[in-house]
Amino acid sequence: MLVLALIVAACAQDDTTDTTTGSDEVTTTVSDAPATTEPTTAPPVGGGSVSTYIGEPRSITTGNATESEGAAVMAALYTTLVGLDDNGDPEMQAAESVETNDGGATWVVTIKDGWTFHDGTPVTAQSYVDSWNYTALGQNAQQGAGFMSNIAGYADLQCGTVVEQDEETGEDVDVADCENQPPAAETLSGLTVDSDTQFTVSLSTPESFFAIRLVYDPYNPYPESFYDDPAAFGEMPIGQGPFMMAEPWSHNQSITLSAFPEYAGDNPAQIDTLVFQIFDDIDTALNELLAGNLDIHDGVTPERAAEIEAAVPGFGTAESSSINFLGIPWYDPAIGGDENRDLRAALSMAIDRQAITEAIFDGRRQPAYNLLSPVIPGFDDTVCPAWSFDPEGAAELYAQTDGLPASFAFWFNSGAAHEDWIEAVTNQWAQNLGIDVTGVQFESLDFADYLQRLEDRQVSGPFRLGWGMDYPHPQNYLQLILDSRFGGDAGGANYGYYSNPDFDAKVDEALGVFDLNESLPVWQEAATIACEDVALIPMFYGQYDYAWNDTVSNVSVDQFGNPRWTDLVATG
Amino acid sequence: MGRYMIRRLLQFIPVFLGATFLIFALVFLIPGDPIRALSGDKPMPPSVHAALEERYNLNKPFWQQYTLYVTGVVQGDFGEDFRGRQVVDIMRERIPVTFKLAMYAFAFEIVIGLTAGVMAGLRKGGFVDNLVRVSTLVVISIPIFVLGFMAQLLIGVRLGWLPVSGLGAGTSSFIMPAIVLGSLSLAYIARLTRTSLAENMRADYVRTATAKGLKRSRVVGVHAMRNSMIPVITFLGVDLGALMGGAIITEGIFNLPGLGNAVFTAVTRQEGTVVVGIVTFLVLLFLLSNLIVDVLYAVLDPRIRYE
Repeated sequence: MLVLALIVAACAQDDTTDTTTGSDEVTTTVSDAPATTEPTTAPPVGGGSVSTYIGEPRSITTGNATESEGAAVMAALYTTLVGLDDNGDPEMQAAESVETNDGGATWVVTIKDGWTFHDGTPVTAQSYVDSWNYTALGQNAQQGAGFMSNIAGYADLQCGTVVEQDEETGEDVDVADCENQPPAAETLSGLTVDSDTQFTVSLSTPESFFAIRLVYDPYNPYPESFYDDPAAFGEMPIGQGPFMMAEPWSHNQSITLSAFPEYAGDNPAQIDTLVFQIFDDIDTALNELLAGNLDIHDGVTPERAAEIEAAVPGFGTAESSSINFLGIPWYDPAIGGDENRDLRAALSMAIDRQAITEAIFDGRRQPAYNLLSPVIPGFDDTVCPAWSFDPEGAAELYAQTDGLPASFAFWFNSGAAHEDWIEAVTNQWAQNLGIDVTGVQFESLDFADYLQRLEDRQVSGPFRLGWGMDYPHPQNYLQLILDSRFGGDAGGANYGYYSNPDFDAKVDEALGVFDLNESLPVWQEAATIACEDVALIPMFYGQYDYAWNDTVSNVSVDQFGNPRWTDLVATG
Repeated sequence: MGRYMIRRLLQFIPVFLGATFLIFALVFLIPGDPIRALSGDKPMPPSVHAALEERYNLNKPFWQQYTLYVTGVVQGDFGEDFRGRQVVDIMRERIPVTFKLAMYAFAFEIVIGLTAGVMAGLRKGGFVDNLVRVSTLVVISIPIFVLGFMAQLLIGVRLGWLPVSGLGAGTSSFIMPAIVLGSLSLAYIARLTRTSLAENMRADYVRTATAKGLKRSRVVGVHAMRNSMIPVITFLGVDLGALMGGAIITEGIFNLPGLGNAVFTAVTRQEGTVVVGIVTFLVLLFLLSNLIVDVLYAVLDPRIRYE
């Protein structure tokens, strides 16, 4: 359950891939569906109440809601500056425009006029600037701080370092220390307020996709009242979105929202009340759905999907931005580095991903042959032969290498059902490469332990790596996972510490191309370099299965996997 | 008796200190970096990591961490979890849930367990006895999560007789989970009572009581039962502690936010403050229930005296 909460963003694509099924009565009578309750607030509100499944969020405040559960509530409480339309293309939401005149070095954000927070105070450019400053400041320890890192002056808001002796190696290392080395500044020098509705953002390095970043929750604003008591605010946050908190967060039980009558956006809520029912066990929530006590469940597990699909009137499937890899410790002499390239290629080509997704996940995961998810621009299904399934080629190639050591280990975090597919991979290696897998060790570790070993380069043998998008851009995958300057111990997610100057240079080249469409081929070239090096082995893409009862209609999920709350219509 | 009670209560102090220390040390020894795990697969900026470590004193050596924790507790500050929630708030929320669940389960197992045990014990080898023995064997051999999940699907989802999960329906929310939680202990109580009573029914004093011409209800209810209760009471004392802290699976299946679940998630997240706070509370509760059991011994059997 921990890991479920940590798969940060699931995602859906456009209508063509959104294979919504379910009873026709439910899905086609959306517009004239009778509302059971008379409208009690503004005219656009159709009334009624809808309940939906959620795990206990870690936080539902802007700077900290970076995991999927918190993000689901954030999507109802806030309207992001930029949103994604049904095709996954960016569209202005709370922003009037986000523009640059100098190739992405500075961006002018103009917000729509006349928006108010749920407490009635106006949303201004200052609200955004203050919020971003708060999130970026090291001492505030906000999970979303990293998203401000390219704004000029970010370094001054970080804590200084002190020299400490590493316990194991005995070497002197720099360690951040907020107590003794507090940040030099409290506000980002790159943010300036031009007027009530406009602010300018200067970036440290020019970025063509800054506007796309703004789809993510950490860029939302706080009202003035937040700064008086952030902890109290966290129990009953105040946003500017279509729904507002109806009562304080009832921990481990429910979060109840009501339609915000003064909402200034284009898509006001159709229902009066949205209740997030908090469950500890996902199966219990599925049982509540079966019993008709829960209207929507947006996390149907592969094991029970067939059963639920048959029993519940509404069922939908959408593509997700999440992807699972086999990571490669580049520093491991037995499998990493340039010299073991052919070995890794053989291992990758010997994996029948299709068979694994069907046998282990009931066909509810899709085989992956690319680093990018299908919902990310620039996706191309076949990048190079090393990531395809080719058992003969694999065996031939494997015969020319030294092979895997007699006993090697597989590393993954426990309690997240990774055992099954990882075992399937070893079986396929045994079958297709003739490797003796009796000596293989399965290092199933607690998540905290697992991450620390990855970060400390103490893993030998392939490991599991998962990723989901923060914003739909190839940079969010390719640079953060594989750029050598984004190591796991340097604020990135390159846990294998893959290092190839050609790859880094290609990333820089791609970042230098301002137009997204023109940059995509360059990103794909970067992916090809990683593929030729077999820096990682893509395994499968996530998929988003959701189900609903006939008490609600017009159910679909957005690219982050959250049901589109404002579309929902209560019918029962 | 009074002095005995005072002595026992004073013993709580070293046990409390020892328990907090041991638990704190155990959580400290779990490998891995709990702060880093907060951001999952996603990266965490070094400053954020450092600031969080400082907030929870995780950058300090073990002794300092423990001293800071105990100093806080003495001043009434039980610390906060990694989500910034006060441990006291968490306990205040969860103790009533756990307490209700445990009490319903306790009442259920005592009433049904004792009745079944007495009926079986009085007619050893009879129909009721065989029924009790077989049915308790079945209950003991089925894992509790199977029992819980099946009950939920059948009684909650299919038949709709009781709420599937959650606290929403008040008292009736607790009926099914209490029965599931109490069923295993019920089986033990029934078997203990049966054996103990059957043995005592053959004892001389029972024969004497019967020979005196006492009514059967008085022979069984007062003479035999009172003596048969000692092993059962011992079990109940231990069981109360298990019901309060060990209901992790039942709480999970029925979505009841109780203490067991809180401890379980806190251990996986290495939230020392939460684990120590709750487990220490449970230890004290356990001590208290054992004290009550010991006092009850003296009530049940006049030969047992404390002084």
